[in-house]
Amino acid sequence: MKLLVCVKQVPDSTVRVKVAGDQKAIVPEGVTWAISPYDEYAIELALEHKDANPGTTVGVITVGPPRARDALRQALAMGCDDATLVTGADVETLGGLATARALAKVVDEVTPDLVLCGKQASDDDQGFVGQALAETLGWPHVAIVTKFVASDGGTEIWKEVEGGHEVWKASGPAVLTVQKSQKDPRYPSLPGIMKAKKKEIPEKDLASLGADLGGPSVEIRAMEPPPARKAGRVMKDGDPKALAAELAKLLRDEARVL
Amino acid sequence: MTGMTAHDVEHADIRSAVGEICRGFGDPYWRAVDQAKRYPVEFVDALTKAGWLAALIPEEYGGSGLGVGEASVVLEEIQRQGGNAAACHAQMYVMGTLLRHGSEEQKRMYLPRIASGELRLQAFGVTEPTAGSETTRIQTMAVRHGDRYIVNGQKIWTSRFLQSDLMLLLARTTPYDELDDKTKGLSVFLVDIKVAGDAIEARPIDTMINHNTNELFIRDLAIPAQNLIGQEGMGFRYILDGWNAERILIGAECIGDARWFIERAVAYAKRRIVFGRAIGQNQGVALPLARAHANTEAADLMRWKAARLFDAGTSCGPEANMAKLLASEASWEAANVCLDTHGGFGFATEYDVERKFRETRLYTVAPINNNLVLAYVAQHVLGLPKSY
Ligand SMILES: Cc1cc2nc3c(=O)[nH]c(=O)nc-3n(C[C@H](O)[C@H](O)[C@H](O)COP(=O)(O)OP(=O)(O)OC[C@H]3O[C@@H](n4cnc5c(N)ncnc54)[C@H](O)[C@@H]3O)c2cc1C
Repeated sequence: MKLLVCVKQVPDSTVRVKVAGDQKAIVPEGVTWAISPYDEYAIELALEHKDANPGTTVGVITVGPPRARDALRQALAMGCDDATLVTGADVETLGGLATARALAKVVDEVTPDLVLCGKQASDDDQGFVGQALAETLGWPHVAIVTKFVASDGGTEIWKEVEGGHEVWKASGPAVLTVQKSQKDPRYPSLPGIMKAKKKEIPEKDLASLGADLGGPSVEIRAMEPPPARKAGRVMKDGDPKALAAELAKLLRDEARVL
Repeated sequence: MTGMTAHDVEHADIRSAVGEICRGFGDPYWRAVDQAKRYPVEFVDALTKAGWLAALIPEEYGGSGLGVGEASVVLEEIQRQGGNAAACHAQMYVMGTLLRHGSEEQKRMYLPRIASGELRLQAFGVTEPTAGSETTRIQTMAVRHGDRYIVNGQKIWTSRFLQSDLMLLLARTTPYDELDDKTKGLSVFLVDIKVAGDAIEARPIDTMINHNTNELFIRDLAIPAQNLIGQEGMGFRYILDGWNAERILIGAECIGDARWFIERAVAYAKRRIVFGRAIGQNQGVALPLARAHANTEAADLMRWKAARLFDAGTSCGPEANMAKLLASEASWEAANVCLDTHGGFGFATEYDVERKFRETRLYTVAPINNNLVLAYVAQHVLGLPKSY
């Protein structure tokens, strides 16, 4: 089976982002970049399939600026077989639909059996590109996926639903958008890092793909950091009974939650 | 931390990958295993699975064939993130004796399984209660009977014995009095701990740190002759060969510790307000930190000098020894300064300073005492008479 995982490089979740002066973007300096967490789960799902089915190949692709090469290198170090970077001018302000159309051009070329995306990226939380990609390709799409297995003439796909899961079946190629699953994404291994170092990461020029990069897009009018939270209060010294009474009073009169 | 050296940048990929694993095992994890004196099995498993402990094993035997310099970055990073690599550092380097002096058959038999983590070779029985730093005086005796050696004796401070499948054992094969050259007459064996069974009784020693170490009582242990490493009687030479790598790796751990202490102390000194200002504004607080940093940087240079010589295949005894000496002193100095900076809070377990303080203290004493390092430098570098 040939799998293709689409990943996005986003600020690492431990980074405290700052809004730039024009309020249209974040300050890129000092940001540690990482693979978006749900995309890591998508990689893990693909690699688990490969572990169980040695004939499987896992490719990884990103549409992004040159620094996104690090995300691809990380995916290779985790065990992916090959990586492709789609980049070009204005790639950082590319909208979700244009990104999906660019990815679709590469999917046409690579012809994978399944495309996996994270269910949403942790920077804008739009949850849009995977679905848009399926629509562009004219492929079926299953969301919130936690597992898949090859079965007779297709793929069985586990989709999380409240309190359990549904099993869907795709008879041909499909796009899956992946949910966090029980198994955490693996760490890049040392042999993986050594191999990844030696691998070429081919680059495709965004403009030359022939994708329609126009059409509806989202414009960011302004960003602002959330208001600073007031410092919490710690109550620890004193008689527990009196503290509890004091706490109840504060919750009722000050916080007004009781 | 500012003041990154060229090497920090050079090995950024190793640092970030190891750092990612370490971040999954933060301060509360290390505090909990320390308090329970429990082996950090989850951390060791994660490192093993990702192949880091097989860094020094050549690719043809299933490892990654990195140099000692790169491997030292792995251990440094673990310490720098607040962890304790002592739980597993030996899995990285004890195999060196097998790699350099074992037969091709022995290497093919064991190294790939050590690389995969299936076999843990992280116990090294050298020190004895009555021999201490004077290794050539060990008494544990291995007597050849046909195709086996029968071993009797006692070891002390055999770390990670209970977390190992294999142990490297140094034992006497010729009585001391029969030797002209006292550095001969010792041999190295690979002991299969499961097969040994009751012939080795391990009694854990409770120490001031979470370090799984033991007294071993060896009674009529039969070791197949094919488990002798290299030639009989050459064991002391073989372990000397391994010591340089060990010194450099331990030195790097100390550098990682020192950087952790300084980083924590600096952050605290900026944050802690007494007399209406940050304590770091007082020179009495700031200057010891600056000195500890300078000494750490200097020790790090010696560590890299030694590592580069080692990886180039050049002899590096003086440099490796001096790296361990300077780095263990730098980390101990940094530990002291960090504790002073934290005042009373340094004693509270939740700050982790007292834990790291206890842990890093080991390295001026073991695996070799700094006095013995100085004695080595005095004799072998400066040409002074042998003092012992
Ligand atoms: C936690 C821990 C783990 C260890 N793990 C292992 C292990 O896995 N395997 C193993 O084989 N060993 C291990 N050791 C043993 C360690 O290598 C020894 O403790 C160390 O080499 C010193 O030996 P000793 O303790 O007998 O001290 P001694 O040799 O008795 O020395 C005591 C003191 O006298 C000083 N001294 C002795 N002779 C001289 C001299 N000629 N000149 C100046 N000063 C001198 C020493 O420097 C030291 O300060 C471990 C030790 C510890 C504490």
